Amino acid sequence: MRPDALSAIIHKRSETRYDSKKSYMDMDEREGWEERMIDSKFELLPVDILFGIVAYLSPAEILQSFLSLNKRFSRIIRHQYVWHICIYGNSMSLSMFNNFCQNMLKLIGRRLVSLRITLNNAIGGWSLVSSSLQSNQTTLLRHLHLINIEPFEFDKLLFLLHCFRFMFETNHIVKITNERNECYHRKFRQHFSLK
Amino acid sequence: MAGHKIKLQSSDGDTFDVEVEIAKQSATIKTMLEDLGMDEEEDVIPLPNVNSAILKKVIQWATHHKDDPPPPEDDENREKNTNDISSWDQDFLKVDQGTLFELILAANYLDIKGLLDVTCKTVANMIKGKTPEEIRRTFNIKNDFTPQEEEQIKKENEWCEEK
Repeated sequence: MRPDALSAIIHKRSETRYDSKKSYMDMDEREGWEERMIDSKFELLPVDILFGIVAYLSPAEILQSFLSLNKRFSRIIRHQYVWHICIYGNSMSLSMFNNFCQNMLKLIGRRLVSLRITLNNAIGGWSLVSSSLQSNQTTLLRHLHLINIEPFEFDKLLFLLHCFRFMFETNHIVKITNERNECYHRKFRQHFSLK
Repeated sequence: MAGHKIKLQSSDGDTFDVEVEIAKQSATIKTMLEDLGMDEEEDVIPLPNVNSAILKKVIQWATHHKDDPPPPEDDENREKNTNDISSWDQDFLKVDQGTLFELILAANYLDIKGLLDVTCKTVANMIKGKTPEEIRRTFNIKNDFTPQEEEQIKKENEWCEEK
C-alpha cells in the first residue's frame, strides 16, 4: 500500500466535495459566510447537496419554501439553481396551468433547462407556454418534451422553434409525442431536416 | 472474492473491518481499490472526513443494502418520489438532525448514491408542507430579510397559494 498516494487522493476528494459550497460563492458572500457564526447545520450543506434535496420538491414548493427563507437561500434558488420542470396538464386545473405559465416561468424562465409538458385539457396550453418562453428569454432551455400538442398549436411551435433554431444546431433535444399518433414528431423533424 | 475484507479508518482513528463487496458500494472506495490495486487485508483506507460514529452508521446501511440492485442513473425528467423510503431506512434515519446531515455529507464524500438519495429524500420530507417560518424553526435558520423585503417576496409568491 502507498499511504502518501492514498492520502493525497482522499484529501483531494475531500476538498472537492466539502469545499463545493465555497466554490459557488462570490468573495463577498464567502467572507460574510466565514465571518458570521451559522448555527444551522442545514445552511452548512454544500450547494450541490442542497440541490439534490430540492430536486425532490415541486417547483411551487421550492419557490414557496426557499425564496423567503433567508437571503442566501433566496439568491441560490434565484440565480444558481437550474430547473427541470415536468407539468402534467392533465392533472391540474386550467387556472393552475395559467399560473404556471404567467408567474412561474416569469420567475424561473431564465434558468429553465428542461421542460416536459402534458398538454391534455390545457386549451391553448402551448400558446401560453411559448409566449412565456419567448418573453422570458429562456435561452438555457435544452430539452423540450411536448405531449399531446393540439394540431392548431403545431404551427406556433414551429415558429417558436425557428426563434430557438440554435438549439437544434447544437444537437439539443426537442421531442413531441402524441397519444393519438406520431405524425407531429415526424413532421417536426422533417421541417427541421433532422435525422 | 467472497468475504474478503479491508480496513476503513475513520477521522478519529478507529478502524473497521468491512467486506470488500460492502465497501464497494462507495464509488470513492471502489475507485481507490481499483486504481491503487489494494487487495491486502492489512491495507487501511483512511477516511479523514468521516468520524467513527458516522462511519459505523454508513457501514450498517451498506451491509443492509449489500444485495440491492445498483440504483438507477439520475434522470432529470423522471418524477422523484419521497414516499418510497423503505421502513428499514425510515427506522435507520430516525436520528438527530446533526447525524442526518453528517450522513448526507459522508454519503456524498464516499459517493454512495443509494444512501445519498434516501437521506436527501428524508430532508425533503422535513421541508414538504411547511411554511418558510416552520422551515426556519426546523433547521434553526436565521431570517435576515427586512419586513419590507419579506412582504415583497410574499407578494411575488402569492400565486403559489392559489389552487
